[in-house]
Amino acid sequence: MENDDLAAALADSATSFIADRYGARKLRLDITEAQHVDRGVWAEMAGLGWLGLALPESLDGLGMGMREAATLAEIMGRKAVPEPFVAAAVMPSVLLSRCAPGPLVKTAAAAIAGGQRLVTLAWQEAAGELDLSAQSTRFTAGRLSGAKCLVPIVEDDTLLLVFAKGEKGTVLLAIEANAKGVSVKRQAGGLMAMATVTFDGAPVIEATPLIAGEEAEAALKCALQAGRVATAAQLTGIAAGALEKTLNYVRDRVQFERPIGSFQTIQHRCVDHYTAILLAGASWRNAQRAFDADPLATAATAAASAAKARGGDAAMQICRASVQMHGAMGFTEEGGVGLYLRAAMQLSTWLGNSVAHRQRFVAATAQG
Amino acid sequence: MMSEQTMSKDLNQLSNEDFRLQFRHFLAAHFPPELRQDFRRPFFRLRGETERDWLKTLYQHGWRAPAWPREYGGMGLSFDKQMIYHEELEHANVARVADMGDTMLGPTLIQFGNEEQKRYYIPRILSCEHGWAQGYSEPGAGSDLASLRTQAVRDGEFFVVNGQKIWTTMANNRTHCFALVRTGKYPKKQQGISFLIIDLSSPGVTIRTIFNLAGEDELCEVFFDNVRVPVQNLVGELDKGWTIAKSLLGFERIWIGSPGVASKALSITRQLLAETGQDKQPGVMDRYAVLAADLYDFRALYAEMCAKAVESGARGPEISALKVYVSELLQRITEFNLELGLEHAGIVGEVEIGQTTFDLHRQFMVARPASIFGGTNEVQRDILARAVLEMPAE
Repeated sequence: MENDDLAAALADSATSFIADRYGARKLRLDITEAQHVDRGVWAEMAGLGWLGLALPESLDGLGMGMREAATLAEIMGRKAVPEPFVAAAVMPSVLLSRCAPGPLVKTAAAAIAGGQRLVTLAWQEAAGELDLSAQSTRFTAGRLSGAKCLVPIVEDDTLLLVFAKGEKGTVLLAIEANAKGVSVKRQAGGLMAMATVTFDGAPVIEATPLIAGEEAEAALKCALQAGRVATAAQLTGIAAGALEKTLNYVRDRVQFERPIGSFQTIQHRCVDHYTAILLAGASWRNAQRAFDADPLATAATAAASAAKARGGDAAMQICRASVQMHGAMGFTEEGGVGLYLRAAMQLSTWLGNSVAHRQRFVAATAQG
Repeated sequence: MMSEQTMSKDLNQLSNEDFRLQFRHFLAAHFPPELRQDFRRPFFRLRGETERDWLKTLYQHGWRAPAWPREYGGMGLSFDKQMIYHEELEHANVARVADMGDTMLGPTLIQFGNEEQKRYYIPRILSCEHGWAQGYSEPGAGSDLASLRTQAVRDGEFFVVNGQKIWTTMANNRTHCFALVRTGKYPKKQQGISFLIIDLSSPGVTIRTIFNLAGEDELCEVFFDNVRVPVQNLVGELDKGWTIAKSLLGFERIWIGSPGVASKALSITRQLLAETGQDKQPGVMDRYAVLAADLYDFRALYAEMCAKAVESGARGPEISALKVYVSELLQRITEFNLELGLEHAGIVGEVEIGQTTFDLHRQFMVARPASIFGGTNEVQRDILARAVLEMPAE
């Protein structure tokens, strides 16, 4: 019960903070320019304790479970917040929590919780990979060679947590994004910038891996699972935010001498979107409970994949419809629906799209 | 009022797990295997003598009327035990019943009936001496139920009833019906409606069977031609029957939204995939995955909403979203099953596919009215738009 109160209090304060900081948005008209994290708000989020909430107490975090992290992600989704809470706080926290707490792990954890610099995972080498596949990135004699794609928020001071193949199997290493031998190609994303990072004999911070072998693979699996559950919650928030915006619009917009929200065709569509949001909420909460019970269990995989697909489809469906229900205004950048739609486009596909996750869900439930 | 069932011990004392096991053992021992649902009859419903026999068996062993208070002879189960009760019926493939006495009339009498009505009718519902039909809809009053016109005019110690009811499920197998009738003229059509109990063997009652698309003959029309009904059959206040009808529809909506039937339909899907080898086709499996994930997430939502109902007792309008979604999910699944059945989908009746006997026509047809009965999904969406999303009326 105490936990319930804590979660509710966190949700309340987060909702008002987000409303305050993101209530009136400056819209970006140059949408192809790669985004930067707003370091001012990021530091404020650190000050509120959000960025370190998924870190264990042994790493000076709050040691909270997925419930609080996903709840926050959902609240951020409602205002299409671009700050990379899942990519640069939740996922690296879960990953580091499975490493032995040596000095470098502690430094990285402190960087996450303090919000001074960005920490991100670099694991993927091709679109469509749901887990660590054949690794072409090599780690030999203290240096990295290879390339990673779809790495979120790589900025000058970003600390990269890179998965590579060492002499004895999978290793996790930390490397500065601006180290010698690292080249970064950044692109704008629907919500956050993504980069392809190439390593050409680049020197890592410490030659001893943060974690290695099967344990490293399990740690990544946990981090990806956590990322998917939290993203599912964020997508649910995006869907709810887009619906709320649309409901406000159709209640006010008058055509043919009546609010267009009084038309049955608009009403019925909105009801179906509302139901889709109910399902998406139930689905991520189900996945969150499964994750907290055992993040590596097959049941947790099934639940996380179901939730990721559900949240992604709900957000895309509702955001597309929001454009339509806003009429021509929906197609303008200043209408603001685009913020939600582009966020949905990126998050519904990042970490695996809905089709891939439903296939994974079916495979996992057939085993279980 | 005390019945044999009341003498049984309070099952609420058991842990949920023990309760589940006891009911499971009971069903294994007492429900006739030949009446279980299977791939041929996935949504099989009992009727007539077999239905009565099964309800009597439930009653004799203390498993009847799970939601009624114990003082009225029900089981008085907590909401979570009622959930388990329904889950176990589903789990054991027990055929369904249309037990309007248990689900609708009993709770109404307990809340609105007078002592004499409770004393007379309640035990007879439980013992199955009376069987009940619900007389609400009329040819001109379907989704717009308050437009009903069947009239009851007071004549001394009787009401004289004239008019017609329709979609009266199993009236041709029942002894009585409870009906909404018009007893007064008021500015609003919801006013002037009364809740009346009518003996279907009364002179002037004519029942006509309606055959439906699934080949069933359960639906009926009931005609009233100067039928004399004793005034003591009026339940609640004269002209205030609409309130009674509305309160009844509240609780039942959560069971109508249960994932049970859709889940049976998806088990047909899995069997068809295996028997036809279409589980090797990625395109087919992607479409299966959509339905399987829809059902999986719906179960999570249903459990969440039931838990909320247990916690707060609230059964707000948002519960209607469950019925709308799951009825359409059931339809999508049964449509997919037709596709998996290939040319067999054109056969009316049983077909052998691989090692299994299916009835593709029936599973598809039975799913059609799910989006119609209990208020069409269109009307449910209207209600959700106004009551939950606060969208403007015309």
